[in-house]
Amino acid sequence: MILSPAERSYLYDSLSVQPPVRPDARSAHQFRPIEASCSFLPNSNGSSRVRLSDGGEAIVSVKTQVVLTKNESSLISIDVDINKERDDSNFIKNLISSLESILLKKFPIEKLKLTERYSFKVYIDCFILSHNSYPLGLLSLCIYLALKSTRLPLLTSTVNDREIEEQPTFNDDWEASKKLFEPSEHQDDPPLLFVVGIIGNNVFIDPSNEEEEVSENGLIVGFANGEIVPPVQSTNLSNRDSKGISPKHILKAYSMVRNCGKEVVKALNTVVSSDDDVFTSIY
Amino acid sequence: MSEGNGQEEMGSIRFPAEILSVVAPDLSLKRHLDLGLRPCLRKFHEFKNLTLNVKSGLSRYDGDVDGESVTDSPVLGSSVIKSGNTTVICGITGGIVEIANVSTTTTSDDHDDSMEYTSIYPVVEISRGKLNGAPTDEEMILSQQLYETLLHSKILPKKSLIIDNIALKTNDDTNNNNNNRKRYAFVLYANIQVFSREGPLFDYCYGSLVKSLQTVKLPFIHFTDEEFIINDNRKNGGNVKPEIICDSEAYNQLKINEENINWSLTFGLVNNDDGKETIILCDLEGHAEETCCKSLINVIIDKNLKMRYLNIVGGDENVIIDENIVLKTVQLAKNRVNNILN
Amino acid sequence: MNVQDRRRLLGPANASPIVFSDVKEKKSKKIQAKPDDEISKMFINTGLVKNCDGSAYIEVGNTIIQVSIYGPRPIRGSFIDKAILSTECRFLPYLSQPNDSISRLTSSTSLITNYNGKLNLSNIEQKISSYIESCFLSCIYLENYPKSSIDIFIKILSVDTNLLNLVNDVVHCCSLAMVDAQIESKDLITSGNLRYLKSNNHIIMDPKCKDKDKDITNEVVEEGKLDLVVSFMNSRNDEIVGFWCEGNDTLEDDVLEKLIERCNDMSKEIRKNINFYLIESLE
Repeated sequence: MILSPAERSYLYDSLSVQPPVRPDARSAHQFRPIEASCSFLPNSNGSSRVRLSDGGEAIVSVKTQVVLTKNESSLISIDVDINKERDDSNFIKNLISSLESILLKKFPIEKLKLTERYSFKVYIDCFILSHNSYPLGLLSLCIYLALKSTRLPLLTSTVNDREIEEQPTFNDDWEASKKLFEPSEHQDDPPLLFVVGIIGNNVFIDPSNEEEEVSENGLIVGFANGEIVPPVQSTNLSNRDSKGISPKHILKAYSMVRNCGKEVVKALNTVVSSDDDVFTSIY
Repeated sequence: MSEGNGQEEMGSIRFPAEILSVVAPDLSLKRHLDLGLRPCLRKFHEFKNLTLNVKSGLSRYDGDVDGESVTDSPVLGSSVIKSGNTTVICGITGGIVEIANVSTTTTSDDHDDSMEYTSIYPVVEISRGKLNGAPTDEEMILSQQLYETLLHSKILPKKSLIIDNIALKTNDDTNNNNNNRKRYAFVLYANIQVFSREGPLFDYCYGSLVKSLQTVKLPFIHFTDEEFIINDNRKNGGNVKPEIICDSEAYNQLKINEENINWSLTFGLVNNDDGKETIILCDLEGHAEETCCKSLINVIIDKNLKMRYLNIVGGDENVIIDENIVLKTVQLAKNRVNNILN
Repeated sequence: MNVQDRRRLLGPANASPIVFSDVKEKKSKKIQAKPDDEISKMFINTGLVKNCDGSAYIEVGNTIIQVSIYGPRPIRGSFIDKAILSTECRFLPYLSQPNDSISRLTSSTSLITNYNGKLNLSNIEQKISSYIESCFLSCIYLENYPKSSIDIFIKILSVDTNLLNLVNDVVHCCSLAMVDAQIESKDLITSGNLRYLKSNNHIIMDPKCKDKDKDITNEVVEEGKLDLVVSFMNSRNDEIVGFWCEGNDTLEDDVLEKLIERCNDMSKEIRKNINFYLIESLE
């Protein structure tokens, strides 16, 4: 999007006053309303669709496959597909590596292990139908929902197949399947990534396209279980008028993500538990 | 850029030497030659200084000689050549390929080089500020030339790449000793990086390739049959490939025909102002020389100072190439190669 | 892959890679341990590469980086009022790239037979490129170079450290090349890199250790650690132009504040040295 100098200056000024005035009248820690649903793809182990108010839309499908553990370099594979973007473009590769960086650390790998030899391999396929703002935040919400709704079939054959060679067999009753991310005390929720824009002394979460355009800098912040987790990374949301930031900004972004994160997780969890199409406005 | 006074006529624009060599390379060259110099300020027959380094630390076994352990690098041999500003870094890596089970001892007299000798698959990358994409013409031509020159130099015999020191790591060692066991050989790849491109690149690239080849060490090979073979014929197609594992430390020096080690030198030919005399320029350097010397002589001389290859390109119709010039060039080349290789 | 690429000599298509057995761990005693609060020595040189506008070379331990800058050079096409900055980071094809968590998924490198066949940038290379690009976007006076592009080419010739430490060195090398190219910038960027070990609240400055490859299925609980690289413009009020944190632990505010401060100290120390080098090279 190209803003005129007047638009740019108006936006910049209104976003740098204390407290910032955002174009859609949100407060600094407020998300745009989203419409989210999950488990709607019958052939996937888990799926989700998230739509943003600005027309951004993403679909994530989680599928699993039984593989020989030793043949695989990783049990998780993430793929992002965006219309009109080459798969090897810097944009897509950066999205993927940001997502990998946080998901791999917080993934319940032990749940994928089936037997001595076999494991589930999880394919997370993300498809971004349209996006106006930087799609990482949207994608992260979508992956969260898809993973939360992912179910794995129940293994009925023996776990120990070191002596007896046997292919794993599964219970065909889908009711008996277990969730990949079971809400329990021992298990964490999937991690999330938040995008934070920085203008003047202000930080604000989930910047829209116009806000990104005038942002001086941006941060990607990881969040899991109510805490900030790496990766935390600065990123340029627009390639105009970038400026350096101060530790104050980073700390501000931190406390903001920490507070918002909890609310977002709560809202997303209600989407998963109701399991139907729900229209929710987060926070 | 121009140093002339603003009000004067066009004729008074003066350029510094390095800019003149870009805007009017022929003029720059001619003016220098008239002074008895070259645009790079060397004498006609003066070579650029050349530094060879075969212990660049890139290779897996570089530390081994000092009694230190090997690294986990896949590079089997390497070298770094510096000449003038140009730096050429060559690293040789390898792969394993299954070969037809033919006896390699048959040697007939009328055979192609490719029957008995082999080459390296090189890829040259010249850094010149081009964003990723297809290799340039120069890079492609250089790679192909390197491949062919090395092949026909008969330096690398095919049989020195054949793996015969296989140690079996299986339990059923005995029934594997039959003849229809598959045979394997190494293939070698070279990656050649050129920084600060200048001068006769083929010479430097070829030099770095040959020098690297001399340092190549081939690892010992073990066969391990799969730890457990899966009964799943559907997915694995039934045939489980035996895994070939290379020993991390033990190696053999690659056997090459040291006698055939050779070196390439490229000379430029220009004619003096009066048109009669032909001047031989060693190690072309800089824009003026490289664009104006269309007549080139490429000589490859081996270790015993025998000429192995001669290529004369008479690109400039004003340059007379007679036998004296050729003989003189070859003599210059021999002296130079004697210095480098011996 | 080999079949399609007719422009490079890639050799027989049926070749399989050389797989080495593991190197025995005995060289560890060879490496002289650097005190944890010390910055390792570096060798720097500028202007070695002649056919570019600015270049720098840096050697830290066994890590060797070369940066060439081409620009400002004219672009084709429509008018732009600011220079376009692009960055490309490449490892020599046969180097094993620092195997941080983000590269684990894509670590198909062991399967490549001919390293020359690797054409696209890996995720690690993209990630480093993006980081450097976002740092220098905030630093260069791009508006002084309309209708032009500035291209940074980073070549990693040898690497013997972890990812973020490598990034730290790359930043310095690019800064030096920027000076050599005489591109107008707000300041010279230097950065600091730390590793924080949670268990004993210990900070390692300029950590040189290589990260071990982890098995994909083992769930070894590693001790909590954080890796941090922060890039500053020290003469401009210590503005942060780049921030990157990886690790497997939660990030608390007070720790973060302390870490940024220590990074700043390290950055200033390096800045002093680089200043000294630049003044020397003027004479």
